Amino acid sequence: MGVVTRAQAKRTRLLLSSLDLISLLPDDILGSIVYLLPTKEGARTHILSSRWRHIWRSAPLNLDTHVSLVSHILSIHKGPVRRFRVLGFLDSLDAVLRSPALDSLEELFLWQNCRPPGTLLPPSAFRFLFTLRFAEFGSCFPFPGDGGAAGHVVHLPNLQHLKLQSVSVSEDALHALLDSCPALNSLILEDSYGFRRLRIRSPSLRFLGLYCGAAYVVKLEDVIVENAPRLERLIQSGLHAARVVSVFRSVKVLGLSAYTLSQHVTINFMKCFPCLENLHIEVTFFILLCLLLTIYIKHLNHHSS
Amino acid sequence: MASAGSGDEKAAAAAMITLISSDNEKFEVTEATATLSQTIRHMIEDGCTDGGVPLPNVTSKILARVIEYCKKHATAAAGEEGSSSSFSDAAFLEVDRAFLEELEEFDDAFLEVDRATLFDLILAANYLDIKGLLNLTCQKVADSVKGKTPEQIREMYNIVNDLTPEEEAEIRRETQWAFE
Repeated sequence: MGVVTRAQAKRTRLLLSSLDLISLLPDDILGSIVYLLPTKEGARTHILSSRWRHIWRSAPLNLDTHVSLVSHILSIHKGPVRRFRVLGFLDSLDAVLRSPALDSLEELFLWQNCRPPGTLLPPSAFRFLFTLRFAEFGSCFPFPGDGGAAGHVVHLPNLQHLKLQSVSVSEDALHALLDSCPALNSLILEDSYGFRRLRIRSPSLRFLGLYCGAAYVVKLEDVIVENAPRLERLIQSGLHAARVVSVFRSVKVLGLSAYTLSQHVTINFMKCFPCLENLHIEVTFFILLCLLLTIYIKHLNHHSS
Repeated sequence: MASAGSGDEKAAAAAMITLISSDNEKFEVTEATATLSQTIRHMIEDGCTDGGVPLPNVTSKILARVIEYCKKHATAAAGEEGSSSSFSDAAFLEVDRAFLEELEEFDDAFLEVDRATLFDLILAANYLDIKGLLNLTCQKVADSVKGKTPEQIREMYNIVNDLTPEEEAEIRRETQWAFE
């Protein structure tokens, strides 16, 4: 009896595995799956069969592409844009960002590395304040000055991740921005400049990444953590000059990377992390070479003596 | 509702809900587990759960799996809520982190199912409006086709190409950039 049941079950499994079950899923579910694919792969799904032909066009759009394709894709796609990630300078950025298709945008990545000098971040980049969950601004603009975006009071209630890379931002504007993100989970500041002091007051922040490669006129000197009880991971790279003026009781993982690593600075720095469990130190190849040479010379001396 | 008074919350946590599958099997779950489903949450709010909640679109086999997911994730949600009230205490972070890792492992193991079950889970998550489960299962399908050509996807999922050569040529022409 049991054998028959098993055989039946096997037959059912074989039958199911030979059916086109995926195409039986409702349109909105197929759309959700297509959204999770890279832009080109998502668009390619409409050649699978007649069932799939209209899925991509009306699904939420993951627009992650070169600037040259942005207008074309927006002209043929009829669904809402949920993710917008564009590399390169887009002349018509302001108009594109104003498109009604972007009304419910959740993820915005602007990387305008070839912009003409003096180009500002268009005010339209701040029209997604209530829907944005992830935002990265790279290599681009002098960030809007004090008073938030174009004079508006900024409030980003859903923003979980913020990255500023090679962005010039004043201390007041940066702090106003951070204070307006009550749900911020992860903050990355990479080669950004214009502020000497970074003050963190965030009950939600778990990850803080501070990376600084080049020397800028206004460098980060102090990192003050007034309130960040959930902060677990702190990665600091190239900031050997910055003083950390707080004690991080909650931080368990600390990453340090530097061009030079002074014992004095490192020990003082470490005193700020009494509850540390994991420490990652990354040094440049040159420092590593010096270290290995020192060990080798000591080894030779030991043998010759 | 999470914003209700603490007395109400305690009463709600203790309340049990009966879910009835399409093949008439009864499952008793806590309200905290059941309300991960927005569909059931609305039914509870409307007071329509006396005598059990019939779920005619979900079989007992799938409902059992869905409940397993909800139980695990309801505990996680409770942990998140509790932690925000005592965030000055560093000790919860350790629990928090270990639990998140455990939750990830649970999700990975949970997705180790055959394709038919995976699609049934997607349909159940959609019908019951369980956002986390829907995202998790859709991501699994998306990951399975990522990097594959249309031909490979057709073969993998037994999709029959019923487009005429003219239609296919038209699609390729319209979105040539996607095939380059």
